[in-house]
Amino acid sequence: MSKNVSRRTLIGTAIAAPAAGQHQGHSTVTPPAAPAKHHLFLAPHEFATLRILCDLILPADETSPAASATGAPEYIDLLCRGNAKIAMIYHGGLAWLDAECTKLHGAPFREASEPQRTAMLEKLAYREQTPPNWRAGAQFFDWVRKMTLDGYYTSPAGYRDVGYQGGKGMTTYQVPEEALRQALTRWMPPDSSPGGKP
Amino acid sequence: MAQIQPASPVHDVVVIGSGAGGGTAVHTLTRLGVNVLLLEAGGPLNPARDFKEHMMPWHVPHRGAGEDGRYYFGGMKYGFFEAPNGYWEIPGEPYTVAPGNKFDWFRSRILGGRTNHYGRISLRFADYDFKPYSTDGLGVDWPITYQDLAPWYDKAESFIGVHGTRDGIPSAPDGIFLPPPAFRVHETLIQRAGAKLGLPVVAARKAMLTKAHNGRAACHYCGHCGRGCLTASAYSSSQVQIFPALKTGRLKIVHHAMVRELIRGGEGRVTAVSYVDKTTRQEKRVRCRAVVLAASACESARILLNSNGLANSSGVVGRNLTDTVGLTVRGHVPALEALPRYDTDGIRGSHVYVPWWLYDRKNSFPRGYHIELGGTGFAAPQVGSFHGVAASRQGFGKDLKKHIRNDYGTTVSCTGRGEMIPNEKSYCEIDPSVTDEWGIPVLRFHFAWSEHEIRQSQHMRATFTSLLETLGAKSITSTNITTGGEVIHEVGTIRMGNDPRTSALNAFSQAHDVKNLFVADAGSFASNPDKNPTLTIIALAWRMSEYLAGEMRKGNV
Repeated sequence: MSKNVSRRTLIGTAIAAPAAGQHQGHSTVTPPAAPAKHHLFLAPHEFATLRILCDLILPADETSPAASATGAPEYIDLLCRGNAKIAMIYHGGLAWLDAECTKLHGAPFREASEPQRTAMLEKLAYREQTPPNWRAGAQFFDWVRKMTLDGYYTSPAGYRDVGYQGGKGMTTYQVPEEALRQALTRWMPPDSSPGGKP
Repeated sequence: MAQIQPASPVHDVVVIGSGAGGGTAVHTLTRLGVNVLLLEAGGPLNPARDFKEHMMPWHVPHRGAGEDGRYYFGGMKYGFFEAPNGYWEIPGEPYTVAPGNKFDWFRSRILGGRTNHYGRISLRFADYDFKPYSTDGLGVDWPITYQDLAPWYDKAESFIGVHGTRDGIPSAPDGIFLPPPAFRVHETLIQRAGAKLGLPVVAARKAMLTKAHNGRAACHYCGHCGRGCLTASAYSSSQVQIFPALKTGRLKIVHHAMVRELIRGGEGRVTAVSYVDKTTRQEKRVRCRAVVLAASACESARILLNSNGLANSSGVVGRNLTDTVGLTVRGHVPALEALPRYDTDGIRGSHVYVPWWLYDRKNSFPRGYHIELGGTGFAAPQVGSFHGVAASRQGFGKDLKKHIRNDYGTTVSCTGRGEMIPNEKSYCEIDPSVTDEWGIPVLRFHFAWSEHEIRQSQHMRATFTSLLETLGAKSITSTNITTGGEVIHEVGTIRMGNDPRTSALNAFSQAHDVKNLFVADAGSFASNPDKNPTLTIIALAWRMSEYLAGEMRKGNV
């Protein structure tokens, strides 16, 4: 432990570290952007639908919050503002989703029931279940899924969710023996002969 | 048109470019008492302001995708937080590629050039690397041997600081090393799997300080080396060579200076350098006793080709363009699933590699390659980190979250870096119909892999696949051979040799035709061994600079 002291004290620049049990450090070199109020680019009904989609893709579970709690929908909205191609993907895709949902269930996606929404997503989220005339919708869903993952896992909550342990710095790089032991045991049961030098 | 002011000073040496070659020349020459003017096409570097080290994605609203989301359309391959200050495309500074050819030319426009962000892999060429023609009848031999260069490899490693272990492998001569960092879990697994296949997995050799060295702090293992290192624990010519050289009082730097051509005077000498001051769009000239070209292999060739045939009686300038052969195979390793989490930041990239191991036998292709072994480890997630999981697992909801937790840190990759042999179809020349925004004619590239490289890439794919299978990997996928220029190891366009009819430079990187013209970048390379070029650029530039200072003292230059 003593060798693993945070470099914070050593080089005077805190590395932002969201790991469990630590305060959210800020780099003194590059302070985080001020949490400015987000002004929506998408229309309110578009953004409401996007939020629902993001939370269906990454809902809250036992260990971590839903996508909407990590700024993922705002992240997507921001990039719609910044890039006309992305804006077109979302304007078109969200309108498509509402139109199909209205055909099937008589209401836009944001007003459909939870089972109705999930049933639609089942068809969009798995290639082999997508009907041929829904391919454009599935492509849109691919975009929402990957950008929701991006927004989610680039947030402090996302870092905690996967268990990222870095961002603290070390004086000597060290690897815990327990992780190595477990990996070696799983890769090669102890009774088989290991190759190479230990 | 530019005027040479009669009263304008004559600089001892004008160095053009500030990367590994230019930085080394500046550092060596100023320490030997020579006054240097450095011309850099980009702006100054202020690490505290320019480097994005220690930033987390949520520190910017776009999380690293770029305000215009360019990440999603193939822009910023290395990400928003990296420090290249350039890329394969620079606005206003185009290049062209001949029809039917593919070549990508990576340039940086900043003090220190590509050394601010590069991988810092530091490998000596082997004895046989200097004698390729004698070994297999292809290409040309170098005019120097390993023994000729070894003292400058020693100086380079001792000065910039390189970690590694002495492994006694003939294809990878040992150097002067700092201790290597510990291997990550997947790297030890790869080492064990490699041993089963006879692949020597050894400590990586990189210009990263694992101990405080020459007044620079030891690495703090944040893994952000590609963003520029605020503590200069990773080598960059800007922080390690140029900033100290400024303190000698013998270095002046002109930024935003885009060199157009070298001006020839009487007696076959360069008397001045003509450049465009980008801030005013004015043409300027500086007079000099000697010139060191260090603008990068292709940019230096461009300057010469735009200088009215200067130093090119051999016709080799621009020819013999090579890049490194690259191919990557990846797989998902179940033994790494759901491991106890630990800090895998370490030094960016792998802590291990495989030097070429089949050097003592005949293979299905000439020359060799080394393997850069990677894996994500439990790396800090970035935009794009889980696109692969989304594509392979599909779906949504709580299951998708579980897959991401499960698959985090389980990808292992093998990347080949192999030697390309110069061929007739690969070269750069001036495109007579295009100039950049400074009015300087641009390069047109021609590039083709030959059967040698194709067969080598097939060997890579088979080897990497069997290594990953030995690790028990699933979902193994392979890339194709890289595009020319993609590995950013372009070399050979102003090659050195003993015969002035087949080479542009002598054994000290001095032009055969122009005694006060020298080259300090990888343009001088006579071949492009699998070893990453930077350490050899530094060693050659150091040796050249000592020679140049000596010749100036003797009055020969």
